[in-house]
Amino acid sequence: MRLTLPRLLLVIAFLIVILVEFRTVLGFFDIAVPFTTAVIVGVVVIGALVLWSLLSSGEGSNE
Amino acid sequence: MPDANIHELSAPDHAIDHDEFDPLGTLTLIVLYFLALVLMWLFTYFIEFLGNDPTPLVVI
Amino acid sequence: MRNTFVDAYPDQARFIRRVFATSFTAFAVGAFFGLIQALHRTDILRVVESPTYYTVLTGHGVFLVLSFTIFFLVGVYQWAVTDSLERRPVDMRFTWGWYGLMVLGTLLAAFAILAGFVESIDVSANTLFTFYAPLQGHPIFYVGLVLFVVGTWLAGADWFRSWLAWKGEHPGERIPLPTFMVLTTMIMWYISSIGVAVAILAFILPWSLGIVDSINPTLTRTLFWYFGHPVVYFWLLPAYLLWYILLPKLSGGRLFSDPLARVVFILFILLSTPVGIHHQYLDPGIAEGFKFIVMTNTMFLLLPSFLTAFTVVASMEHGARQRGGTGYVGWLRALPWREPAFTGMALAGLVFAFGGFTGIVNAGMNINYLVHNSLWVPGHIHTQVGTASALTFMAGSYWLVPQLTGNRLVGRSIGLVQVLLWFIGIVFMTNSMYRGGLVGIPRRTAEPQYEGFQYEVAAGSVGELNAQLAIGGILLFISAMLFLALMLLTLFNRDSEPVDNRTIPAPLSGPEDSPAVLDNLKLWAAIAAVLVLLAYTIPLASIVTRGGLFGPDIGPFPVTIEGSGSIELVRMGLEFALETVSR
Ligand code: HEM
Ligand SMILES: [Cu+2]
Repeated sequence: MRLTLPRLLLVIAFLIVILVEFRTVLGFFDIAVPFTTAVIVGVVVIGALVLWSLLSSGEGSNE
Repeated sequence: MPDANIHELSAPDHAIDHDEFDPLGTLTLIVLYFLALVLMWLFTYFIEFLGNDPTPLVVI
Repeated sequence: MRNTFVDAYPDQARFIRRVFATSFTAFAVGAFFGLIQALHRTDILRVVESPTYYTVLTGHGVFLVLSFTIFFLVGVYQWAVTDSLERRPVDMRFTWGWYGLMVLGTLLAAFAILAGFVESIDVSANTLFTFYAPLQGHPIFYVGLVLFVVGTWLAGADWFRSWLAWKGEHPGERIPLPTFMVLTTMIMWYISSIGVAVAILAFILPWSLGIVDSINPTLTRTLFWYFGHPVVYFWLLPAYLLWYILLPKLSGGRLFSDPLARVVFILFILLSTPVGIHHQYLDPGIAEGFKFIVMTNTMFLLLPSFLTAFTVVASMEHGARQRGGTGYVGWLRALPWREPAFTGMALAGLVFAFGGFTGIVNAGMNINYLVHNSLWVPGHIHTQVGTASALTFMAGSYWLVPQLTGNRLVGRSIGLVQVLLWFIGIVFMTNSMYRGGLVGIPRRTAEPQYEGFQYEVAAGSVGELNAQLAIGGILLFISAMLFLALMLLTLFNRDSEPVDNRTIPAPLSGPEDSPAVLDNLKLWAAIAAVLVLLAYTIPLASIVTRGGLFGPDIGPFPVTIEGSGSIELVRMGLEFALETVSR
């Protein structure tokens, strides 16, 4: 794994939080991101992150 | 990953004493935080607070 | 040789375990009530009748911000005093005595609140944790609160006694930092809790017993908030103590500066009380001028919090650099993120920093109008006491409870998931609360839905805000239960050893670099008293001259629910309003 499991979890948590808050910020500028879009973006981004960290396994693991 | 449950608490690689420690990273974070505060405040005050219409007068 | 806290002070460890158990029990009940509220307000699941919502909400407030936080505080402070003075209390029976009094008080108050669920018992206290007159609860509720507060006073006396005994044996030495923090917190607490004691003993209790039949609500409210702002520091300062004392160690470093920490706690003695009126910006009967003064004082209070942000982050950076971290932000990667104790506290600090922004908004006399009594306020509450304190307490427990039991923490990875879940849950819930508050959704409302009216939500809809609030609440509840389960398992994890020992590394810059006047507690207490007199004499005098000590004939408005529930409540409310208006 590219990231250790604790770090992966931490990054996921931050991504979710940033997503929620960023959507609010956009809303303030009158850019309304629909709920479903936000969910889909979240799933895609986090999915990609998980895949990246799993697939690029090997040496990178320091665990 | 197994839950090895081994703490890696306070295991410094090397000791750094007071004189050789300049908290530049802290300064960076604080400056960023301060910028965020100012932006959020300007936004809340000028858009959310001043941007609201007066309370509508409803007569029933 | 194993050197944990329980090895050094077995009887103290046993005592603190008991105190923590009490605290966590209150947390469990309060968290469950929180879940009920989150689902009820949003109309997702209504397991109680809407009038009963206020019984739940009173329980949520009292159990979480009085019982959970303050019991945790006395546990941590007992640990801090014992560990830093390296001595046991002068008389352990006295220590058990104040704990017993606090428990008794809690049980009485809890009985009065919970009896509100049972129709056959004619007792209730649906007053919410602020117990504003003319809302009236059963006398048992107020008696319980008084006993609880007296218990905390005696606890403070106990710590002062330990310190004096220590001082006799160590003449001329500086007060150890953890004890310094405990003593300064307690001075603040003595000065401020007088307000609530007077409010209850002189006015509310006699009135609820029927000894006097009128009350001056502005007066009791003002006395409540005289105490109500400092009490938030009573929740926060144990978290500060853990950030200053434990977090540097967990980061692998040392506290950046001991003198700076002392200055911060002194600032809290001086500034936390003469600001309470900032909760009353919209109260009639208090002149605008006083409100303005109070706003200025409040803005000064930002200072100790900014100092704390600097000192604590610098201590973390020191740890990270010692662990090999480099760069302007790259050092963050060198921190021990896999430790739930560390990560929980760091995230709590982060949420606190951004939640602090909402506090600045609340504190502005004009901009406060935007958010007053809206859902924004519980948003603020949950980022501050509900996370800065609560999450720090949970994270701290991951280190403290092994020290207190001599057992290894069970499920460290699950602990990490737990603190991350709290972080995500709180962002979901409070983000929704802030946005809801900005469009005017009220707090303390069982059914915030109105006919012929629609909120104008900036992005999205009320339905979506509700969903987000409920998801957040559910995540928080799951996180709370995970935490409690891990604590229970750790308690029974015998035949294991904690990984760490009890030593706390010395600060980078110690107390010897600072002027001795910092330790002159009498001086600071005296200055604080003067500031309080300056801030409160005239407002209180004018409230009493206008409304009289016992008020302009305000009768009780008992919030017992009789007969046909909500209809009855509405009827009583209307009658009361009519009476007041026609007077
Ligand atoms: C377990 C997770 C929690 C959930 C789901 C939750 C949910 C809620 C909700 C929905 C409200 C708003 C009720 C209303 O205004 O109608 C509320 C109020 C409140 N919560 Fe929480 N909460 C939780 C944890 C906490 C914690 C840990 C604390 C403090 C340590 C806390 C302190 C408060 C306070 C002081 C209020 C205001 C009470 C009042 O208005 O009288 N909550 N909570
Ligand atoms: Cu306040």
